[in-house]
Amino acid sequence: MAVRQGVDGVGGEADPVALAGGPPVSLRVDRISKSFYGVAAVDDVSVELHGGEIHGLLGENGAGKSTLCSMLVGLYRPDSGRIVLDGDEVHLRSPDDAAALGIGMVYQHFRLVESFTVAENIMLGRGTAGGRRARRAVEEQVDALASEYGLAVHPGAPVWQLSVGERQRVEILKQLSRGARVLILDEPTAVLAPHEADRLFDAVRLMVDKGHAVVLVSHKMQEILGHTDRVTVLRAGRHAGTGATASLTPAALNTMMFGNDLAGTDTTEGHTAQVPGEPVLTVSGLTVTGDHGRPAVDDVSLTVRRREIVGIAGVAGNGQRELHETIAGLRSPATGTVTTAALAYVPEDRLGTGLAPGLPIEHNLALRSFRREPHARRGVLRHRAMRETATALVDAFDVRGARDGMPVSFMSGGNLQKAILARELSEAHDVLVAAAPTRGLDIAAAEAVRRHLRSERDEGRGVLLFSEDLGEVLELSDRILVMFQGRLVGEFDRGSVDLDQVGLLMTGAAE
Amino acid sequence: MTSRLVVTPRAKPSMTVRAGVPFVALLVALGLGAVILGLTGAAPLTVYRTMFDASLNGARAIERTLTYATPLILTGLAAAVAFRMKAYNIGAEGQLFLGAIAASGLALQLPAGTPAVLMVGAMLLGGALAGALWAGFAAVPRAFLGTDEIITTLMLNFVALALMNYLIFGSFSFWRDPTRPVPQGNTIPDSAAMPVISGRLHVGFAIAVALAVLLWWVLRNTTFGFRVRTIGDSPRAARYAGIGVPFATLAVLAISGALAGVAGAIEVSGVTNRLDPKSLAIELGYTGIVIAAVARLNPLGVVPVAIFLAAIATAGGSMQSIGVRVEVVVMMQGLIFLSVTAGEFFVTNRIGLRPAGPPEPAVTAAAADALEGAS
Amino acid sequence: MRFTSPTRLAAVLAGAALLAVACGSDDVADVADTAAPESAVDETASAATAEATAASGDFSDLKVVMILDGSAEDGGWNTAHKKGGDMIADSFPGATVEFVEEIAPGQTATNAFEDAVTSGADMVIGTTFYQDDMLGVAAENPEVIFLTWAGFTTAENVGHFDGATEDGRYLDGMIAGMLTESNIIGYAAGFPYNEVNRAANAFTLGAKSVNPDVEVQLVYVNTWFDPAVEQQAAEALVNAGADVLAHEVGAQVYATVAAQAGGYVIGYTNDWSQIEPEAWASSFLFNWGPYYVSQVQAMVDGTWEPALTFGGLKDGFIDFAPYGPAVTPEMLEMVETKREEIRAGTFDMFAGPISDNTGAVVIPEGDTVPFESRTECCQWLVDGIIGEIPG
Repeated sequence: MAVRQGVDGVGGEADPVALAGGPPVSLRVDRISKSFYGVAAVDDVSVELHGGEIHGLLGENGAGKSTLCSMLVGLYRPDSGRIVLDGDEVHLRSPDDAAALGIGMVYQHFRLVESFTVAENIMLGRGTAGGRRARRAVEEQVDALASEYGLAVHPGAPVWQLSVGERQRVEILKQLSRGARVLILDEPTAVLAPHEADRLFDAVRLMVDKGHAVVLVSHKMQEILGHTDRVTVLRAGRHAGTGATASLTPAALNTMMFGNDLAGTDTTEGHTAQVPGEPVLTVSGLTVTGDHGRPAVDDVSLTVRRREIVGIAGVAGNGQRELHETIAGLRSPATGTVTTAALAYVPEDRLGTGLAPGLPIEHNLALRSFRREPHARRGVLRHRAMRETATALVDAFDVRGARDGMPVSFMSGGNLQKAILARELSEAHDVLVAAAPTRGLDIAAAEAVRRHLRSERDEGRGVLLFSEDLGEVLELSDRILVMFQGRLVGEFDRGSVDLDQVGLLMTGAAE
Repeated sequence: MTSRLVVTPRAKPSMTVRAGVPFVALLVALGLGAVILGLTGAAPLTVYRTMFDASLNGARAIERTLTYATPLILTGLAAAVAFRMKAYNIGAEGQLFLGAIAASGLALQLPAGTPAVLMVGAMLLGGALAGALWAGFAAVPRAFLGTDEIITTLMLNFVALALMNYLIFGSFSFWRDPTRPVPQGNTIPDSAAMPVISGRLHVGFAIAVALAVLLWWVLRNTTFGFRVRTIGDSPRAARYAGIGVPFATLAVLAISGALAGVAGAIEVSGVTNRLDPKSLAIELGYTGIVIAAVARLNPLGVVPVAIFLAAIATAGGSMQSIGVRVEVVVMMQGLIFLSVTAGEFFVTNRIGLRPAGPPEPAVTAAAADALEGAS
Repeated sequence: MRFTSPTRLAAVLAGAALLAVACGSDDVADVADTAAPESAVDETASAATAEATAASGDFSDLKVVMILDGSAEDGGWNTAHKKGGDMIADSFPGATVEFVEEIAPGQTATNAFEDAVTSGADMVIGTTFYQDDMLGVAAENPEVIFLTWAGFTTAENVGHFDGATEDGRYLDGMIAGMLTESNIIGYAAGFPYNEVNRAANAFTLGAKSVNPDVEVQLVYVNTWFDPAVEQQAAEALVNAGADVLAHEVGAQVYATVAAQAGGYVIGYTNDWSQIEPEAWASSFLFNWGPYYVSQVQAMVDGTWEPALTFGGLKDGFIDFAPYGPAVTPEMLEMVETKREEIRAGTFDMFAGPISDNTGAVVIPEGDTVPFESRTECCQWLVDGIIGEIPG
């Protein structure tokens, strides 16, 4: 571990200042391919990155973005093709190899130890020995890096006390302190409030100004257009195009992502006014104890009626999860009641709650109907009927990548979400509770999900939507409730939304 | 130029691979074993011939192996069904003892003139019930309080062993034959003896195989099996789907215990003909866990694995009579079992050599080597 | 009786390894040498006969297989049988003697007996209670002779043997009675059945014969081998005031606990004189060799008859480990005298009147437990034992 050496002679624990001296980093991916179970996830893709640029990586779910990034950080080994760093081919056998060469990644799901401090987490990432002096040195380094890049965070603070945005900064600092010159950010704004996202991009711009190369993996076209210097688009595992951001239009990117089929889809389908009907979901005085033993949901009351979409806006971690899990019966309330008509539920946690990861699609699609005809008769399963249902649902909801008998965990996020929707919406229900239904989905898949939500409403059902994407909540909801620290702190009707006020309520700034 | 090993899963292994790999693995094991035997001064061919004769060659040998495999199939099933749902019942050992206690008790209690079908049927049922109840002591706290069943089932094994020893050695219980100076159990009536298929092989073997098929079918084709598989994969998904996890936990652990209990009943009825702690406490329950693991928790897989293990065990005893030391016997048994089970890896995965990259200037290879050396 | 479980096995193997290191490897020969002159010359088992045959003939056609329920190196029960088997090999030049170890009673044992026959054995000896596992095999193979320990159903080709532990236990009890200063002796036993109770009674009778004030604190630990439980039992006995520990179950803890307490330990068919030399006092050992040799000789001569052989001191079945340093020549002399009386049949330890520890007379004046009926005794504990038969 100690002797790991970069190819260019820069030490593994490189002082980032060394960057200033050398030539800007360059990373070239040369005709790289990777397949799983015979399915090509990345197929003959070439990309070039340079120090000093923010490089957008755009593509649908399942387009191969994650696989490509995983190869860059040594999680997967390419089946063929080369990775060339500063002119030399490198063989990355593990994330440690990649880190030693200055390639680091910040994942959507943070990899921090909650009970450790910021500095301890950063030391952990480096595998250096503990001890007070080492910690002091790391704290000083963290402080220096933090102020250099505008990533303010207190090195001595335990991670569990930090906000999501702060945790993300810790992850970035962890990579920078390990000498990362190429930094891959996977959907970094998915979990951030708008002002936090702005701060992030300020920091990212500082990094590239100092010679780092940053890869921004995103689904949000505005983000790509607003913050990157160049963009590479992947489609179905293949390289669909690369260009300078300034020279690209949204329409051009759309064509690259989806080919010609979906370009020009109207993403703001009309929202026809409806008169809400009788209540189908009533929550009153609900308090739920969270995993930390504190009340995560605090005296919440709300009603969802037929023919309305009620949106709950809020930054992640303010009790939304506990609220929808309690409504779905996965948690028990401390006090209060939930009264619901027949419920369909799209959980936040697609693999694990929504779907049993190790079981095949036909099993998962029958999770709620396996007891009944036609899937079972007198306790005996009818596999053929289950397969037929699965085939029909897969077609109807455009679920791709499912193979006979293959565990669903091999499918991409968007297709998993479609599978859950397929199952839930095919069951008789009066109300749909959807938690972060479009998170991580590509534009087409997200729009498909939104269409389903709208038609639910239009068909006379009630919808309770939880989303961290404020734009989505505004676009879909008839009523908007704002959740902050376990409580509902604001309510707006569709027509009378004060955007500034919503933003302030979401971040607690209104109080 | 470097190359590296690439492991890729085989989607569907061909029949040639399925059948060929274990055979090759066995040959490899026998080859290595010959070296070991040679070093210890034994004649490998004579030893192998003796092993073969003792375990597989001829009716008597096969009867011995299948009889030995019978309780192992059942304890293997007991482990497989529970582990399938991630309920780690390691108490088949104790559940087997309880099954044996109940079955022998019934055999001694019921009138000796009871028709054999009823008598043996009652013993099997009683054994199943006792095993299920014993598992229930661990299952109820696990299902409703989340108590770790690994600890509780293990502790219950010791309690069951102590109970069985007490009934025969520690007291003049109903189970013990008071006329014998060395403590022994009362012999069960003839009507309680398991009917014989051939020689020493009794109907219990057929029952064990039938239960394996039944369990496989239930897990695959019933809504109950659907529940078990779902919980085993993801308890949260199961809970959301409205599957009662506590109830399923109880049911599965009870089935697991019942299978082990039946193993105990069959051993009493078919082999020992009395409650005999010494011949029952030979870790049949723990061995079942190994069998289930090797069979990948597939009930149909449990049968051949149990028979294979029984053949190795049966062959092992014969080697000592011709002068192979017990340590060498154990080494040989382990070698054969490990080789063949490790061969499974090659059945389900394809291993190939692949160059690390296309031919490159020396600097690249050097860089790769530097990396290799460092990591 | 000894039973097999891997945990026990591991410990026994570890213990045996220690023993082997401590004793050196030539102890088998030593015992064989000392056994011959020491064992009594009687009508059935004659060491002299064995030696006589040793000189004559080639026995390369002769094969004896001995089946053991544990390791032959367990330093106790099985090691004693192994020495007996080695004596057969020494006495019949060219004969093959194989040892089949770790065979639990039941199906495994039946298979082992069959395998022994298949391997060409002329005689198969089972050293624990294998009778029920063996009778079927014996019936199928009338040309092979079978002997097992403590069986009671003979057949044309089946005989059984057992040893009178009480003969050894009585003399060990004398040693314990003379060594104790607190007059409290601790005694840990496994399960309360005849052989165990009889041995404890004999031990107590021996102790009381030299020290009428002695009390024997008897506990049943209800296990065959469990070092943790036995450790607790041993410590409890020491805490109750015992300064001599005797035992009838397997673990070595009695020696270490006794040594730590500065007391003495009496073994049970094991020689721990090298393990805790200071605390070591005495232990009887089984000496099966002369009996085995006589049985093989009878088979060779064609005079073998099925029998139940129950042998004690006078039959040469009982021997002794080296005595510990605390045993004085005076003590040895008393023990030696008693040993000769038992051998000669002039002393009967069970001669009435004998009362049990509830005060009831169990053997009236003028009555006794005849030697051949001893295995039917005892479901009572003799006066002087603090403890009771549970259940």
